[in-house]
Amino acid sequence: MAAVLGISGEYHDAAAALVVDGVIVAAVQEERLSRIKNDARLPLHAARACLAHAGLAAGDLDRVVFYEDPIEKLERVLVSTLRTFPRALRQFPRALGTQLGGKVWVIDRIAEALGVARDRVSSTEHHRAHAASAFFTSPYPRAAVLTVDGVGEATSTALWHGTHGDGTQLRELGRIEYPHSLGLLYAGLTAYLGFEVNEGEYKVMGLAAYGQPRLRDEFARLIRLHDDGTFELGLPYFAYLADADLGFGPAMEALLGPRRPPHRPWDLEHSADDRRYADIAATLQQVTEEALLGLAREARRRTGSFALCLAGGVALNAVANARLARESGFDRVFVHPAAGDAGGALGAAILGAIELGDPRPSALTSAALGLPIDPGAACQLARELGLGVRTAGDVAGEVAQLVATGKIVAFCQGRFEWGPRALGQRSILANPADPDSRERLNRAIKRREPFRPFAPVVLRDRAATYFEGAPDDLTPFMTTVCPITAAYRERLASVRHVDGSARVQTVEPATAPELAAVLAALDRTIGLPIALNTSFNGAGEPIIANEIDALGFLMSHPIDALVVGELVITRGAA
Amino acid sequence: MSRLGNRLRTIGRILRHFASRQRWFLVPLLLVLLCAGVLLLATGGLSYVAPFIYSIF
Amino acid sequence: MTLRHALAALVTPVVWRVPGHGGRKLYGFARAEQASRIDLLLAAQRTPSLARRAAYLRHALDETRHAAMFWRRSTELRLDEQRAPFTPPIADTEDLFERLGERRFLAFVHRGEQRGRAQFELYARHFGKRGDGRTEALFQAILVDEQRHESYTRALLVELAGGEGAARAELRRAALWEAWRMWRRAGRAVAGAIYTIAMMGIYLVTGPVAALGLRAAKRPATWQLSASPAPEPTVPQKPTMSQKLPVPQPPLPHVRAELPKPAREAGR
Repeated sequence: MAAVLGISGEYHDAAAALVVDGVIVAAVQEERLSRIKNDARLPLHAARACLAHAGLAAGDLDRVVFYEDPIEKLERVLVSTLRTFPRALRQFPRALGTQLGGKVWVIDRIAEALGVARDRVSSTEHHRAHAASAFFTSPYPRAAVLTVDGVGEATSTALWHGTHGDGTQLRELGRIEYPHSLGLLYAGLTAYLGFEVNEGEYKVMGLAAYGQPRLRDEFARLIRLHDDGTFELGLPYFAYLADADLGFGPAMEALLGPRRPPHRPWDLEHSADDRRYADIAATLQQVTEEALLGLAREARRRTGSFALCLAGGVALNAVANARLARESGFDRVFVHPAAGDAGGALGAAILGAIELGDPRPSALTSAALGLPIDPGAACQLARELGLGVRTAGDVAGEVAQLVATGKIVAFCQGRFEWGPRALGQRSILANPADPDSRERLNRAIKRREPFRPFAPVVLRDRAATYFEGAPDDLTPFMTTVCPITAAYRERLASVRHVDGSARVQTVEPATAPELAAVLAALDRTIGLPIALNTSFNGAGEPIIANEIDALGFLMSHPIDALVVGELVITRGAA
Repeated sequence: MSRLGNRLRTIGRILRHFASRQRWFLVPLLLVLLCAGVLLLATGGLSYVAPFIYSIF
Repeated sequence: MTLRHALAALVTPVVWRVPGHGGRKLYGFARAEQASRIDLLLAAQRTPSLARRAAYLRHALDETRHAAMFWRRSTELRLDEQRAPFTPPIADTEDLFERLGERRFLAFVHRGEQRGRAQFELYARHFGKRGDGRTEALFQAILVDEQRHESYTRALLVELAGGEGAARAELRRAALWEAWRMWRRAGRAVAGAIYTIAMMGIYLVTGPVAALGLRAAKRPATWQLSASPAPEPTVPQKPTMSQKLPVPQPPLPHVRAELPKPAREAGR
């Protein structure tokens, strides 16, 4: 019976996760607490918050596990900068500087900062941590596991077989090594299209539906797919960016045309250039999907398993996941909600727990693993700020009423979500059938590019009526897309992407009771158990965590109400 | 100080790792880099953007 | 008038006229506002007083607005000069509230706002003289807030420190801490430059030799198995304890109801 803390950080997506006696007690991304998007520093606030939430002190920890091996990483960085002599001259000082200036000492720093004995702090392997996060939170006793990301220590892609039987095992079947990496391919093109790397990838995924995959010939030079699932990047087209990233080089612009300047407004209707960029995105998406299908088929061939688990940054590509669910030959597919590096923290903690003899955790049914919001504190602070506060008799009914009449409601319940998606704990809700509220939401609050859709949330037992293929193992965590059924395509236009699909979340009363109640009430008012659900955060900031952030948002954005627990808070007197 | 002890032990691990991978010829380079890294001790704890300070230049 | 302010008054007319530099300076101010905002949000989380929490939150919202205003004007200036605008300003933090404690933090913020206010008055006058009404209006609008920030932080500091004398003492100590900080930043800049040059030199000298030794193994793009055995005891690859197949467990409980109430949440 052990208490194990898992930590990820130093590159992007710093997070801490606590597993006690085989139960996931808390999992928190540092950015939610520090309010710095993609905070990459050591997640000390998150770590201490996890411990405090569990009522533990650092001395109670049996093990702290860091999600990757810093020395292997140092080796890969050093070797690859030397191998590409002399091209990496400009990157060498900073790459090695960040390694030797901090990253390679991370295990010591964790021990010192948390006050844990050094011999209780260890590291695991990056892709193993990803694989553990996917398999051990899945509902499958046995599964093939595919981990695909930019690069860990030196691996970009790995195939595993997760089993029970003679002990709980996660056996590696094979790996593909840096620099051949789907994550780096996607990241390089994300940068080419003018978005921020590690932020903009899902924007590229949204843009892809607006283009046609016309550039297969050009992309054949960027990546070659083999029959056994492996692939090879056309290295001359990529360039060394930093210690872990590959950007694109001048050869890429020679091949695809000039890069898109960042932050130029998008105009897909009138600009031929923008349509070409959309075609590039579409080709990239198609190629990525085919690569993943190839990997999945190889996984099926090698394991004979009926279930597939996915993790690693590339597993956040919901469109590709949908295709995997349909075409890979697996009956069931599961993606860890925090498929990026944050998930590595949870995977590391689970690996540590299993090694110390604890059972694997039960299947993840809710991503609400963060810190709770305190309605009492919210009430006090709201009054201090001069906002109107009242307790609602029937919260679900009131929220449904507001949403039905075109109002935009911020909805905060319980513990905030683990992973990049808001799943009803820190959500902004709006009417899915009302184009005006969607328009207002985007223009005044989210300020996103015009090609990015909003997503629906629906009651699980009604999902099949509105979304083809729903529900499945992916829909509770919004890791897939489903086509909207023909009958409702018009009505649900606000949550529909240009290709007729939606990144749908399904919700059950057992796992998200408050949101399920709202959806049931909406069914009574607008005839749809569906709401438009977008994350509760402003442009460029992390998802809201506590009442301070929530009230700050209310005071600076034109939402109509903020609901915290059973409180309804508004600007002006109640 | 135990911190220094930890760091020295980590250096030992790093060097053993490189030696074990037949990358022993990188060891001298590593030692030089570690020494150069001492220059980085000055940079700990500072943010890259100073709050509440508006540069005059 | 402090030395810094005198220097600012001297360089202001020159600095803003350098082509392209105006947009860059405003962007720098936007980033500084973002950094202030983050420190204030953390202060709001950590302060034990409800009234101060509300005050820091309001201040943080002002800084957010200022950052957006500075960034917008910076973008306009850049586009006017046919230059690419900057990406949205992001900043990191030094966790000043934790580092300094609330009193010294307030003193530091007060000094920052005071300094900023004086500087922005200079800039407003400068742009007024130059006939750039938009930029002048920008600084005027922000000045209103800065004046308010300057006075509320002083009032809070006096209240917290317990009197004028104690408040002045905190301000002096904050000034010393700032000076040490400036020194360290300058040191970092110098050390960074030396380090970069030294590293490039090392790379150029040792690169060819090392590259030769490494060129040998060119990794093929196909399935690999683990490159080598794990060098140090880390979490073992194959846990050896045998376990029975776990009994199907009930869905993960919403643990919020079951855990012991924490004494003080570190994240707040």
